[in-house]
Amino acid sequence: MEKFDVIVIGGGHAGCEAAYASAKLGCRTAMLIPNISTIAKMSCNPAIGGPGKSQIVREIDALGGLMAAVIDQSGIQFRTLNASKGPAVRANRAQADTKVYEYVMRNILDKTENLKIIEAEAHEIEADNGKVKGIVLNNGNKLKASCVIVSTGTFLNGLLHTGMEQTPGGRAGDAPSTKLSSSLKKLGVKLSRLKTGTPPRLDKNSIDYSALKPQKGDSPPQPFSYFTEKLERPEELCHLTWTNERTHEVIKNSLHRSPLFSGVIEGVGPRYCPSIEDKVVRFPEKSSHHIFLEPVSLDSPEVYPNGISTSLPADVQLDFIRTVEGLEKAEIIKPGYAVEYDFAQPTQIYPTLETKKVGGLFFAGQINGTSGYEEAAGQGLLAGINAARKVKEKEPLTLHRSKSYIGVMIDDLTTLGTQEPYRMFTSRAEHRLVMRQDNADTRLCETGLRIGLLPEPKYLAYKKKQEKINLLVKNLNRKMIAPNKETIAVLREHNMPKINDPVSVAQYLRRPDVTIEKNRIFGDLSEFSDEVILRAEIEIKYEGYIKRQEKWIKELEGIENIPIATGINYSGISGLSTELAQKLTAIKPMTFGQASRISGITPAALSILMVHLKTKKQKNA
Amino acid sequence: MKLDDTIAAIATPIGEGGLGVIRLSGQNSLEIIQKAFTPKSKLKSDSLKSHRLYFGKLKDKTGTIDEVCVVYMKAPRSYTKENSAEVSCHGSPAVLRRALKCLITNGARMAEPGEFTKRAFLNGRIDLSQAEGVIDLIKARSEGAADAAFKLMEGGLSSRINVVKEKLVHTLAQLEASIDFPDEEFQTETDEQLIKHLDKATDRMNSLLRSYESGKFLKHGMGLAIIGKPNVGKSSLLNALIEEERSIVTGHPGTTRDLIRAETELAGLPVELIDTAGLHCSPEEVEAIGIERALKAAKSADAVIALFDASREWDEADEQVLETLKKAKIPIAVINKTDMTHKLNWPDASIIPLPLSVKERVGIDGLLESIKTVVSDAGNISQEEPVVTRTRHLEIFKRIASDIQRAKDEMAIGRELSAAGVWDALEEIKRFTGESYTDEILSKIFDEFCIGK
Repeated sequence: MEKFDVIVIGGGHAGCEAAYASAKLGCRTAMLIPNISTIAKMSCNPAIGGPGKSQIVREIDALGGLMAAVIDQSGIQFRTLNASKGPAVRANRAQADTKVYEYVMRNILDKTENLKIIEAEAHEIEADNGKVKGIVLNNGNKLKASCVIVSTGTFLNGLLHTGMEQTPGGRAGDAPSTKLSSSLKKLGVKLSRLKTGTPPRLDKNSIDYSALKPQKGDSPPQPFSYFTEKLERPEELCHLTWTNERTHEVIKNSLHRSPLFSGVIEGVGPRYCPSIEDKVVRFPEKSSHHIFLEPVSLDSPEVYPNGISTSLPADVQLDFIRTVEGLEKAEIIKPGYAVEYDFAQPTQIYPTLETKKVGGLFFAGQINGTSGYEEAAGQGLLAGINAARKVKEKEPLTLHRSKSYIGVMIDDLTTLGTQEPYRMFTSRAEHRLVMRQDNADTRLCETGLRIGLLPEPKYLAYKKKQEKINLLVKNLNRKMIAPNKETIAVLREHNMPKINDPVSVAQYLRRPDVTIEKNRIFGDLSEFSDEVILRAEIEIKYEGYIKRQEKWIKELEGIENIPIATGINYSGISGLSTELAQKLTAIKPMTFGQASRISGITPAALSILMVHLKTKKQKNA
Repeated sequence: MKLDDTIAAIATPIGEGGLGVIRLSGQNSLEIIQKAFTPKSKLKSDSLKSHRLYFGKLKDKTGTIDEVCVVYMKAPRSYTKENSAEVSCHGSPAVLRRALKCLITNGARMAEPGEFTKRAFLNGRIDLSQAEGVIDLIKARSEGAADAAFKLMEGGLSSRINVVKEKLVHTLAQLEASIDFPDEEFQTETDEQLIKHLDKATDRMNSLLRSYESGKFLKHGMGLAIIGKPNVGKSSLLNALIEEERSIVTGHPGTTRDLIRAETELAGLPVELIDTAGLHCSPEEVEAIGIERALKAAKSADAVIALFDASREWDEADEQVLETLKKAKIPIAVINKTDMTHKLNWPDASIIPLPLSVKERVGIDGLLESIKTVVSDAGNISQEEPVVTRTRHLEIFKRIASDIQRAKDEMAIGRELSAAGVWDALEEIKRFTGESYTDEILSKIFDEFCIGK
């Protein structure tokens, strides 16, 4: 029987990061995937990033993960969202050449030491005494491992719906994992159902682009990874078109054939990503919805029409699509469908992503109720790190919600659970102005180095840049300008706002109508890169807000980080209601801060818990 | 602090009274009370029934302590949500102390200050602002203050703040939507519309903040200084207003040398009347100190009553009194001794003095009426409006108001900055209701509780 330290089930966006991290941290790792040609497949939209998500991608990068570097090598259009808003909420988004993305990822994994990719399906997870022992494959072979990471995406008991037709499957063309689902249930994991959907793929050659509005990316494009020097790929265009009243008529007339509206689908779908039939029914006053036509790959005729995910029957899909401008003669390569799948309510896992039921069993990605490649990758990375740390008998890594979006996501999931596919939004983070996409390196490179995933040369590059930023901030704080003739002339020459009193350049820069420019006012900037200049500007402009949020974080920290033993007997704490005791027992919060965020928990219950923790501490002391 | 033991304390004020009450709370309340209490009529069951009043004797080893009434309240239907009992004894301090000792011998522990309410809070019976209401209710110095405290206990302030919270949540949702869904087609409300919502929240906050001024009067009372030259009848007036001989009255000018304070209640507000030394121009040393204090009292008082003598001519001292009066926040001019021959020439048409005779009891009611008007205007006691009485709340509300202001100011600079202001305001609201847990707030509050509640 072959022995591994860590086995990763699944080779999607969570599985890839998990397998890479585990192997890089020195664990003999196996990655199982039923079809080896589907590694890192983008099953839905061909894009990475967006608000909240791009922050996660850059956090993965700072910790030493892969996603940012891979999209930089495979991106065919890069855009900054919220460019008109402040830097705290700006977000990168890139269109991927999905085939290149898969290829680049596969290449990195193939070259990763300690990692073996096995084309096989896991049928059973074996455990003994509440601890993982290994897995059984579809061919009956057994693999041994002390840690197993399940990152099966939509494959667990997956069921595809197109109209009233149902096909078992994890994705169009791929069989579901049914046996694994039963095995998890046998281990005591409680499974529920979620739903998601995808639009039909259209044939590029059947689309009339002449009437459509093209969409370009940024020039110059901004990379995701801190360590990407230059983006190489030529840009591709996306196109914009709209549904119209005829489209909506076709859809309305076919609702009786929709599995969503006839009650066939039981799983809950995401509110933020409704199907086109959902939009038409819920917003009858809107006579049109936009559709982004996004190329899937230069090597493929497929086009992804973003905005019209659907589970209507294939013939209806073709009918309504052909009512849309530019798509009058469109051919469908693959019809859209909805997929229902099993997930495990994430209150069943610790913030380390290890399950509470079975030691050494980790969950990452859609099995935890999330949606999105970035969310999956963030969890995969943490699961891989923690599985490896468990093998090496090191303290697990948990990321705090005041430090990272990954921390926010995992704290939300493990504390509150989720009722719909969980997607990251910037509004989920209470410390948004501190946790920006520009400073993920400042927040996490230190951690990346400490756990051993971020290579030292990359860390040193970060450190050097950070020193430059700090230096520039210091310079701008020190440099004074006075309303003398010379300064007034320079300000006028560059069309910059006047000053009436002597101020430091930093103070001047804090004015909303001033931005940093390469002129004499801001001193010699020649030794600073554009990124360093921008980040110094952000630091200065946001200083007041950052300080205020940091004060909040500090104030809470004292209480926030009080550890709670997972073995605590909540029903034995007098004064705690049975209901809350049960809740605490189920969630097993690791810190007082996490306990305080459990839904339904009262300040009174927290006081009781605090009293209990304090008296216990006194007794032990 | 432990929650699993049973606590006991004397719940009524120390001193002689008709009745004195001892309360017990905790798991073993019933056992403890049954060890010491023998009901007069035989019980139908083994133990006392919940929420029934029993008459009988409370006994310790040496014999009967007192004839008492006992009520047992089974959890969770009690103030603390724990098993509780109350023993009504006769109100002698000696009896109460002996009864308490007896209960402690039987297994209860002396309650810490505020522990009953602390338990009520910890057991989820009341929220933080309600707990604060209880403290205020216990310490209430007047009917109006009791009313405000009761409203706080009932959650009146919380419901006001909830209106603000709704406005903030609505605004935040709009702000967040435009940040998180930049590629969507929908339109969020315009900056101007959002600022309008925030303006409404500001209005609410301002009215709450304004109510602190009246809230301060409700809680701490209103100070009313009586000034005038010597022997004009200040002390007599004070005595007449409070209907008791508080200030010593003689025919000698300058009898009152130090400040004399007397508390009373007018128009539902606690009022502190301050009698002062007479003001005149050539005082000896002790008098000079008294005069200095009088002027200081007049300066810090919420209202000043200046007394003038109808039977004497206007002089320099009167002039000084009038000047002092004019500087008062609320001035009331009074001419006393209208029963005697009128010699006073009132010099200032801008102030209309109230004529009265303390000696003959003429015009006192008129003065009382105008004081009441002044007091209730200041207290602005409306039956509906809950008022802010605590500095903790004032501080939080001020911060909320300034966070909202920031959100408005920064709307134009960036919605994410505006959102940060709204977010901060919402966090402060959580602090007010106790939704956001901080240890320090709790200990601070419970330090204020007096024993027994």
